[in-house]
Amino acid sequence: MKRIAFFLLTTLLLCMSFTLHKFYMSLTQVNFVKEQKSVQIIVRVFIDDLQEELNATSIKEPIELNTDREPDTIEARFKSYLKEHLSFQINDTQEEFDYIGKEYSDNMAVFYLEIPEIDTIQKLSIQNKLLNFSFSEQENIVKTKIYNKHKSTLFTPEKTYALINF
Amino acid sequence: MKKIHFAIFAFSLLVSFSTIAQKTEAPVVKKGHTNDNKFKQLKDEFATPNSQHTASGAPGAQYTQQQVDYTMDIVLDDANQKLFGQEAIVYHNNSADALEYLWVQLDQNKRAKDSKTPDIKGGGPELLYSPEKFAADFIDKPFDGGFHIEAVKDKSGKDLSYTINRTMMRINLAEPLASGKTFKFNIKWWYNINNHVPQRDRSGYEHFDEDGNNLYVIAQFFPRLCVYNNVEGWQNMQFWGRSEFALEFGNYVVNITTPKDHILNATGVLKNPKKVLTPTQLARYKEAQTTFDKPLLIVTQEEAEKAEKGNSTETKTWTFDAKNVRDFAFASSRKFIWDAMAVDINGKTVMAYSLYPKEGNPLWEQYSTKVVAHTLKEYSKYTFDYPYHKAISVHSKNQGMEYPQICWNYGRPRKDGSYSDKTRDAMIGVITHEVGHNFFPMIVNSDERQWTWMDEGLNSFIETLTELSFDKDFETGNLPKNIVPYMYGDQSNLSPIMTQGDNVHQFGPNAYTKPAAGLYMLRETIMGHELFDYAFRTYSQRWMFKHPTPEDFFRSMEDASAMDLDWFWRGWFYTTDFNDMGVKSVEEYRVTSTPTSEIKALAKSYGIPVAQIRPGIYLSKDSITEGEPKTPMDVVLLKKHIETNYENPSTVNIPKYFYEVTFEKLGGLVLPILVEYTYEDGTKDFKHYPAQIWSKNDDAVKKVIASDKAIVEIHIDPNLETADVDTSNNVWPRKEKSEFDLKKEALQN
Ligand SMILES: [Zn+2]
Repeated sequence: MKRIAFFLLTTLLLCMSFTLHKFYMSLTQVNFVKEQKSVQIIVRVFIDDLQEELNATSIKEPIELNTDREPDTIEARFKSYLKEHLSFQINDTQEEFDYIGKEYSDNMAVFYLEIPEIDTIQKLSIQNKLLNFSFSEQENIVKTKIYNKHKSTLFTPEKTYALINF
Repeated sequence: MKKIHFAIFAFSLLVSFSTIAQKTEAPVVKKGHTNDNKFKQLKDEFATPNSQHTASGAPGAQYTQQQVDYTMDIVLDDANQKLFGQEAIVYHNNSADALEYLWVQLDQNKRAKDSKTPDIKGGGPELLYSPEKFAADFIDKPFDGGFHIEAVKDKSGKDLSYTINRTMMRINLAEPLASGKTFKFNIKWWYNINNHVPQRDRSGYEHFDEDGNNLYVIAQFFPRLCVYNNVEGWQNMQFWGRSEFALEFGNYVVNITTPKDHILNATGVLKNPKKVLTPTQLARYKEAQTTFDKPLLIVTQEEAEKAEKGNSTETKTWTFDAKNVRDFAFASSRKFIWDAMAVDINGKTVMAYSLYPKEGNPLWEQYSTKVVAHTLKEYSKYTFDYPYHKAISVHSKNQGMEYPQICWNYGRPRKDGSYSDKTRDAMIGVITHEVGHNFFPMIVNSDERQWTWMDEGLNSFIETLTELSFDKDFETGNLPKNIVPYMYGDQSNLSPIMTQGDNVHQFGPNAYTKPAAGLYMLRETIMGHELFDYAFRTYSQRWMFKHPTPEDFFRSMEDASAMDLDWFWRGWFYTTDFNDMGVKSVEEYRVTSTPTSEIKALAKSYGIPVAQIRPGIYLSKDSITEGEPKTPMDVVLLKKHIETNYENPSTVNIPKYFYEVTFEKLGGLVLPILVEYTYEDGTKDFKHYPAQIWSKNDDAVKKVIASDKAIVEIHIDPNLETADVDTSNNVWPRKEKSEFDLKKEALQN
């Protein structure tokens, strides 16, 4: 498998006989809750992949996630990383999401994001570049549930943009 | 199903009916179809059983297996990182066939300059190159790896004709080797040992700049005979680097010459401890054989640190004798600390050993040997008593790789000696896994070149049980809930488990996690411990020191449990289908004697007046009309039945609440429906509807639930046992607050 060279020493190649998870994917659920005028977003990524990505995209001292050495400022790092790599345009307007928080669960970091004050959605375009810097096999799946219409969209480093019409 | 039933039932209740109006319709030509039922038997997929691999999944009367014995003299040239070997091979043709040639595996040739492994790797430029990677890709000459075969001779010293096809070498026999005969020959070889760190190779050395030493983990280091078996003939698929090994069992006598200040361990019984250990080390070595409570140091950190400052030009030779093993590997370095603990496996003493440099401490002295001991005990419970005399865990950077009685494992603390829980747990996980490989495939010797999942999946499964018994909260990553993101992934990037290893998308979840999670589900949810464990043990013991196929596993699990599991194998192992069930709807009914609108409509369609419908008991959701019974006992017909047929009518428990629950299945897998019913008083019932509930309807099924308490919640798979990819439709009534709303509240507080 191809992974970016600089981090070759710390990444897993597929000649190993043991795996922690060895698949590179994130899962994002986007629900439009009309009564609350709210677009609710839940993003799930593997913690160790995210750690590698944060270290890969920064020249600062490498950090550790979910250990006793996790920096206190990590929430701000998460927020700015997510803002840079995941964005939403609703009805042709770029909409900023609120970073509500995260939790760690079963090797995954789960982020809760929300775009408030949305009345209707005719058009949703999504840019998803999560973990693409470190993992060329990264598969980012976005499941949308908008007006009871379910849709699943696959993003890869080669395809980071998608438009969904309603 | 329900409809037909209803109609027949209704018919029998009708007092009389006029002639059924015969409608004449033009004949409609309907297309037929073949059997696409999810419960269709796997006869098309399975190999036909025979007297070698039987229909019960056991080795048959005519099952055969070759044996290959090796006597080897090996020299480790530490100064130049070269390995030299001379091997004498005795090949026993136990098959019924005459063999015109023998195939030998040259795994090191994967690293040869002309290796085709890099050539099949597609892809554009990297996003970013380090200078090392840039030089490696575009400037440097490829590593000069691969075997240099110096001589291939028969037992009388005459050159043998041979042909090398990349990682495979054919020994051209002058005359076919008859069934039951042996063939003796010798190979002399050497190769440049690779640094295993940059490419994460399975074997090689790691160089420590600080003290100038190398730590060698040496495997696939000698030309090894291919398997010749009853299902593949010669297993001589090329070694591309991923799909691992298929090997015959045999006996080994191996002499390994190293610098005098190295500590070494290997597959097999160390025959000359007096010669290679100091008297103090020898005394500790012996004492350890009876120390069961804690690891005892044979080589201390102090001694190792002293040794790593030296650089002896003298040598010593270690001799090992290994019986009935499928391979041989060793680890050697000046840097090794060595600890040992005796383990009692049902009355037999087995040694648990660890070799690690000071860089592994304090993690390794605390955990490694204890984890080896725990793993041997737990695996022995689920399979058979560990038959070898030892198991060694060797510290090796970034590695997790298994060989008979010895394996390489990662887990290195930070430079200051501290480590995170994550590093510790990953190390416990990898040691459990690699030591566990002693059972699969070192003993239950499936063909890894063909089927990665047969050893990785089965091993990851027992690894999971072993980790959970080490620490019940251990994050194994192999539970059904952990495989959900993979199974919900894009179909173009998934392969069925039953795919040859080199062709598999997403190797890790495909060959490790998914089979492990599936077997966990089978044991915990579908079969139960008793049936599963007996069948799994049967499979393991039937195929100890033999070469099983996937069918042998599938058939044994069914044969020993009386459970038809073809539907499970078909869905979980032969397809990429996922599981998604939901509660589609819930309707409440009451008991009445007033004919329901459904039965009235049915009667009407046959021209029967309502008055002629025979009195009956109905579950109705029509709006209640004047004079209808209020409770079941107000239904005269029912009351009469109870009073006539029950000894103590007043104590008969008649349910008051009736529900029709529709379960829907949006995924392609068939699995049991696990349902938790919560009643108004807070009590719960757990119901397991076997997977066969889907045998005639693949989309939705209905159940009528009768209860004397009102149901307030219906929850499918509340404990996440079935890898349901979307749990938002699993609960009725649908939660008012979504997962998101609840988390938002919690996170903001
Ligand atoms: Zn493995």
